[in-house]
Amino acid sequence: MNIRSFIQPQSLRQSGGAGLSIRAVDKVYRIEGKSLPVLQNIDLDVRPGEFISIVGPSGCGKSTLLRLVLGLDQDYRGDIILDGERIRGTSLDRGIVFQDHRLFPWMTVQQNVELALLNRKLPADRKRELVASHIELVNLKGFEQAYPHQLSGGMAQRAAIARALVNEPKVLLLDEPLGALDALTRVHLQNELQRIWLRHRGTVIMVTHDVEEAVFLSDRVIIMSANPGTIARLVPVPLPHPRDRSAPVLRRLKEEILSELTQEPFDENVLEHRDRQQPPAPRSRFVW
Amino acid sequence: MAGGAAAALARALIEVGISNVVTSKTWKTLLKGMVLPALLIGAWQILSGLGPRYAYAFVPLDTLFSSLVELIQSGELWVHIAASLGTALKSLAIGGGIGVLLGTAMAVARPIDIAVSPLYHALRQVPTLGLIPLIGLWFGNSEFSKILVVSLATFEVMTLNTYEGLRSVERKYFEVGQVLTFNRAQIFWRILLPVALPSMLTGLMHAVSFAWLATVGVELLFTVGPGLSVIMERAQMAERMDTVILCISIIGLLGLCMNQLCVLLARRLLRWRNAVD
Repeated sequence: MNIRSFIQPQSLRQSGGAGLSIRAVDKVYRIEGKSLPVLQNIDLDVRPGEFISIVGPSGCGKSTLLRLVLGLDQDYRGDIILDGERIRGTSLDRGIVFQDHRLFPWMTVQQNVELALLNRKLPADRKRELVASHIELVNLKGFEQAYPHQLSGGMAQRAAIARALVNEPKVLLLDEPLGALDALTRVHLQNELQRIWLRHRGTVIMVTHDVEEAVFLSDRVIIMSANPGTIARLVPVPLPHPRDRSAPVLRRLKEEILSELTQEPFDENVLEHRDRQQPPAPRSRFVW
Repeated sequence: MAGGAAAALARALIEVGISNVVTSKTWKTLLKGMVLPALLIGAWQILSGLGPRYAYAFVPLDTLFSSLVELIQSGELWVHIAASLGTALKSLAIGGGIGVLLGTAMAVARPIDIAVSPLYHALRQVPTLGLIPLIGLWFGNSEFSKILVVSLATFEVMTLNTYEGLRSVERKYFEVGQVLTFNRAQIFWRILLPVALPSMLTGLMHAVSFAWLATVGVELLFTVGPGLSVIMERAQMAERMDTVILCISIIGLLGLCMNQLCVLLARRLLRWRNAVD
């Protein structure tokens, strides 16, 4: 028995993540006959096991980019390549934690996490094991039978993280996961995220407004600019994990990134962030 | 005189009951619910003692009680109750079932929605009572006509509630289903249906109430076969006020029981809701 199997229980294999390549991605929204360029010429390479954050002003298309990587939206130009294969549609290889936890209110925590394994061909006891170990991973042991309305914001978000991770995805996407939480819970969950990520060391792409959070957690910070959304700068954070929040390097990097972001001319005509995230529903014969 | 004593005895029993037996919350709630009816019955009894004309309209309780015994002993009551309940429940199953299926079809497939919607909404705005002459002409004074009319009443409300429930699914849950690679069946059974359930259960409560009301009404008009309204009408012709009042009370009581069953069902199935309850 080597030291690695001692630290990591069998049920949580070190997935190591996969490499993601985003090549020359363009996306245009058509609203009321006018075309609105949302993303322009996005070129990004994410190394396997890397944790990157995307920061940028509202409306710069960062959440849209996540949706493209996720496969929720297939109307774009360019290529998104995961592990050598072009992605098409959604897949259990790519998981996401949304800003609003989106747990199903009619199911308990355990049932919600189990739901992610619905389309996985695994024996029932293996599924139960995975669910239990991931609920424990996010420190929600004992709350398996609770309904979402009985959980606090932080707990619900942790359950959502468990749901996203239970499939051991190659890439984990986080869309402002801590944005809806209060400051204290946010700090606590940032530490949790670091701990959890260090356990499975997968590839993570996080979109956030909080530069401090980005700098604390990631290996690289991508700064995007708006109108149209492009990558302005890539900022490496060359600090080993786990990190100390008060390290002066982090503070310096945070200030550097913030100054870059605030130098951006603020365009009043940028659409409300939320409006950008609601593309017109596609016309189809079936409602869903 | 005996009736007044019975009422007083009942009230005394209730008071004793409250102090001794009642500990749990549901019993207390139940008894609080019975206070108003008890007061009304008391007022009724007082009015019936005021004179012979009053006694005609407000039949004294002891007369009502003896009429009830008479009805039960003749074995007639159960036949009629069973017939009315049977009609109501059969129509609920048929109309409700078709309503859920149609509502689902309209919510899920837009072509069906576009095709059926105008006709459905037009039909919905015609009061079921207005269709009775038409149905009477086509199908005559039969069991089938009764069930048809009551089914129509339940069908309309179940379709609408099913449709609205299924359409009210928020995009965000739908997206979670997409991310977890759900196919259409999984999205329907695991996302759309649970979200639609509260609306459908509300629809069920309305449907039960409409079914019962329509049953009582339709039995007055299509007088073939047994039914509670049949007893009522016979009593009306024989100027038996007591039987009429009894029937009305029984109809109300049965309706209440059915409603409470629906409420209990809803409470059980919708435990997960953080409703202000």
